[in-house]
Amino acid sequence: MTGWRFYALLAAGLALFPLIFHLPPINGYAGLATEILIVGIAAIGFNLLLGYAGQLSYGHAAFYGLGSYGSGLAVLTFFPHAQSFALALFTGIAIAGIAAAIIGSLVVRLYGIYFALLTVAFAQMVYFIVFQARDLTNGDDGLQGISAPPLNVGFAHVDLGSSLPAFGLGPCGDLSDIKLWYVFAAIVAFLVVAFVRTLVRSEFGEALAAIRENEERSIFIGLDPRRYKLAVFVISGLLCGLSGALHALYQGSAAIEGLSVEQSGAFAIFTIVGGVGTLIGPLVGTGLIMWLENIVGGVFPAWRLVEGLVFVAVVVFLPSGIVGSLLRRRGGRLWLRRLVTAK
Amino acid sequence: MKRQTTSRGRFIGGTAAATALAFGSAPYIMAAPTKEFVIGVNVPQSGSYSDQGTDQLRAYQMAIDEINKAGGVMGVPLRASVGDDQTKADVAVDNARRMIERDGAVMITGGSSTGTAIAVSALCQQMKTIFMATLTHGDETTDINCHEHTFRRYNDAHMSARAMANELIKRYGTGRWFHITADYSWGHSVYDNLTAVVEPKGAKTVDNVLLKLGTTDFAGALGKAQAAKPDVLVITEFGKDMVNCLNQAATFGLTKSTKILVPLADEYMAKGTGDNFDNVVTTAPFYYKYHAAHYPAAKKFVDAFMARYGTPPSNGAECAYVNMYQWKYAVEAAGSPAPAGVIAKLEGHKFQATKGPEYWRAWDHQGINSVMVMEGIPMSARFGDEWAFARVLHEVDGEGVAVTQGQSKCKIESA
Amino acid sequence: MSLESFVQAAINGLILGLIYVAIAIGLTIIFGMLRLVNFAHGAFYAIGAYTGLVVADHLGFFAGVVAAPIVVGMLAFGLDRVLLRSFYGKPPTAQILVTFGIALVVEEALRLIFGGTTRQLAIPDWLNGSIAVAGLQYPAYRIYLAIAIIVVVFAVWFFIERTTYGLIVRAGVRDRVMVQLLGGNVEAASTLIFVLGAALAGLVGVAASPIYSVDPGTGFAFLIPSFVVVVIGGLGSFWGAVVGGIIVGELMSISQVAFPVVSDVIIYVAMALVLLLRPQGLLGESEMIRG
Repeated sequence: MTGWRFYALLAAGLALFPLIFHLPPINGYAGLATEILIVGIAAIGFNLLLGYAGQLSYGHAAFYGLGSYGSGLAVLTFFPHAQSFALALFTGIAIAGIAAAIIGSLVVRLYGIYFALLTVAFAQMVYFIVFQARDLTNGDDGLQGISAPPLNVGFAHVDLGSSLPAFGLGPCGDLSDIKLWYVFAAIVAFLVVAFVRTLVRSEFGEALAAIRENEERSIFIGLDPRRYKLAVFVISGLLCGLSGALHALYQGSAAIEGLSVEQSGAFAIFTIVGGVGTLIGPLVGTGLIMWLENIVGGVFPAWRLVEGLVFVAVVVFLPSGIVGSLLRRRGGRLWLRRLVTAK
Repeated sequence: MKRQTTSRGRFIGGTAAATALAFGSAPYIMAAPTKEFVIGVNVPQSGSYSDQGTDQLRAYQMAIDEINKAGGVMGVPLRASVGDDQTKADVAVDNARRMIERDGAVMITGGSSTGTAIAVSALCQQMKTIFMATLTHGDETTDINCHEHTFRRYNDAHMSARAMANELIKRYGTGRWFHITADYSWGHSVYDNLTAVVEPKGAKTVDNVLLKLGTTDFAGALGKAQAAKPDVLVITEFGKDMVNCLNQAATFGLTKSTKILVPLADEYMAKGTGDNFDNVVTTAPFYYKYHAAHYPAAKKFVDAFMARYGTPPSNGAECAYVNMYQWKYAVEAAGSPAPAGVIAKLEGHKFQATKGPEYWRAWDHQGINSVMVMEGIPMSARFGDEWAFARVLHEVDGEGVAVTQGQSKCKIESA
Repeated sequence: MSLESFVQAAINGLILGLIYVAIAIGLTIIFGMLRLVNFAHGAFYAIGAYTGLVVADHLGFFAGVVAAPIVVGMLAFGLDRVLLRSFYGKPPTAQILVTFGIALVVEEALRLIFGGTTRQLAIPDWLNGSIAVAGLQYPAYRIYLAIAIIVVVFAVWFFIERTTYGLIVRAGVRDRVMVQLLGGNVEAASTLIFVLGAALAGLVGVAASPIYSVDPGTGFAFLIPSFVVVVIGGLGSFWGAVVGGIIVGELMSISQVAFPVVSDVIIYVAMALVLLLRPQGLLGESEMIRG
């Protein structure tokens, strides 16, 4: 098994990412790299539901958005005196998780387009509730001025806004371009991928695969598909909540658009372009699309058209996404395949 | 499958080609650093306020070109890094962050909604960068959401409402008022200020229909208004939303049966509504026709703008233009673009640009300048100039109508 | 809430509802006949609206109205031949994704060509203006639009119920293979349905654009409510689309007057209730929605 090799390569990739990202043709910046990892966690959550459980949800922005409003409100309104990073994070995740449990229990009865549409309906309801709770959430204007409390690590209070020490790296910029936020996001992303990998390779994951392949048969062998689907729904909702909670703390604001159908669609695009059903595919997809949007978009107005065309092309010709098909191409390189899938 | 292999190969090749094309054709590869100041220009180029945003962009480009031709700021040329905020706060923040972190912007400016202005203002405070807010009208920008690094020259809702006060009472009386309001910070700010002015005088607020920014169909609200038979209909909408609302109001017969008030307007909104803007009372900080006739500096600006673009500058464009020059002044007076010095030089600074004498108030960074109270005129009275949309009723001095320190919730961070 | 404002709202709701009916009919018969979940349906609406704008600029309003469904129909035909054919009958997830992708491409192409600003189609003056309805002034154009849609809906109904081709369509919904065995040209009928549904959406797009301003995002703005309509009415049911559309329109409109707070969300609550309690919709047939 390539367990340690996978993790070593993942760690190396995460460490090198901001540096490579900074290089001239790519022209990114560390702040964007951080945001990519944070949002990518939501894509990983979405991917768990779509890639491993075979369910397409168009409402996952609800959990992402609830996560960001949750952590934002924890800092601004609920526990303003505690000023605890962990508490804010926990609040966001908890709210998202509860919503996922409630919504999940209702949606897992349905399939296909009906499942997708019901997730849309609930996501719109969440959007509406958050919008109307104006006194709490500021409605259309969203939460502003969320200053992330310092992170408590043991006895130290870490201000995630501080930079790494200055160290010139030539074309890769300077080490001080990278803030501790990136280090934190990278650690969280690493843990999330590790969690998903472990989950997928466990008995739980095997049951999931069985249900995905043939649900009728899985019932015959004694599995209760609904329970598994609900579990996956909630876990993916929790991951989206984590992503949203981190995003609000990083961005300093929570926007109502985070709850929109467009946001749910974005998770789908990230995941599918990157590689549905692979472990790091969602991160790759998030990185590519957000790079397109933020960097290329500034100077090349047709970037979104490119994004749409790439998406259609992937769905039609390359359903396993960039990462997925990279593996298959090097069919013989089993170690590479094992690297990025759960097998 | 055979088909899959060939198309996959073609796909990868195609993507590589497309990516190469994207790189090759986009001249954004960071050049070696010649000394320059990067200005982050964050405006809506899509969405309800896109006309206003695009016009601001024109003014920014003109100002930057003029400044560069005259030798730049302290001899250093300016370069604009432009972003489309889509009238969305989170996109505006992302743009601003990119402009500061990657492009090294020393100043962020732009915006056409109070929602985005507040969000960008918070980010600029966090990242210690000057934010010259342009078209934002809601009180919050220099009130409860004020920040040390943010300066707002544009009139706010408090000023507009009180400048209009006499006109409102005289013309619209104390009858029954029906409001259609954009459901976000600006809309609420205007509504609160208007009712604070007219209700004590006896006006009765019949209803306030809140509609999301970007609403295109106002039939429900207008139907309600029609049924309520108010004396006054207040349309607190901006940009394309206002144009839609007013034009639809005409089809409901409301422009004939009811007096209409549009608290804030600009040239694009008036053009879009044509004859329907007749008799509508509104305010604006600048009206090109009036100011060009009364202030030489304004005439110079308007003539240059028209020569370059063929259309007159909207009030957002004028604000953008003056903001650029004000920032230039502050940097040169302070000797560097570092925020602390710029802030100190702007606070309390008295000047006269394209309007009457004005100044930057130190305790909230609000620009104290005049408010124009105007009344729309029909196309037939515009003598062929479709942009000359109004008759000026009053030019109100900003000092008397701005919020006082006692009333305001603003607490600038350092002070 | 006064009787007057209720009547106003009911009329508004009817007209809004009819617009949704026209869009939803296409969506529902495409699903019924082709088993295709078409997330690109909103895109057809948007293309119709923009086509109308462009043509009307040069040749006038009515030319725009005529040109839009023709152009959209042709585009749909091309799309069907080139791409979507292979997706009929495939798992809905793949269908949703590819049609969603197409909708995305269309939106961005429109943005690139026409810019992001909102536009409105200008109506000729004789169509504009107000009509007195129940003692209140009501925009004339909305009335004309409603009548036009009713006519079109009946035309489509007539086609499906009373013509041979319509017969093939209806039979093909029931049992595709059998119809083929009986010699009916299911392929051609399928393409026809797709084109017809798209053209209908395009027609509504241009006809409604004087009321609802058009911007590149318009397609998606109408897409989700259209799905709400077909879900409530029943995926695949013609009359379900009619009933569902009117219900959705009335719900949105009356709630704006009676309970303004919920007016944005009430249709989603309705859809959720239908999906949970009677997933086949009000007039749909109990089919395999659980698998």
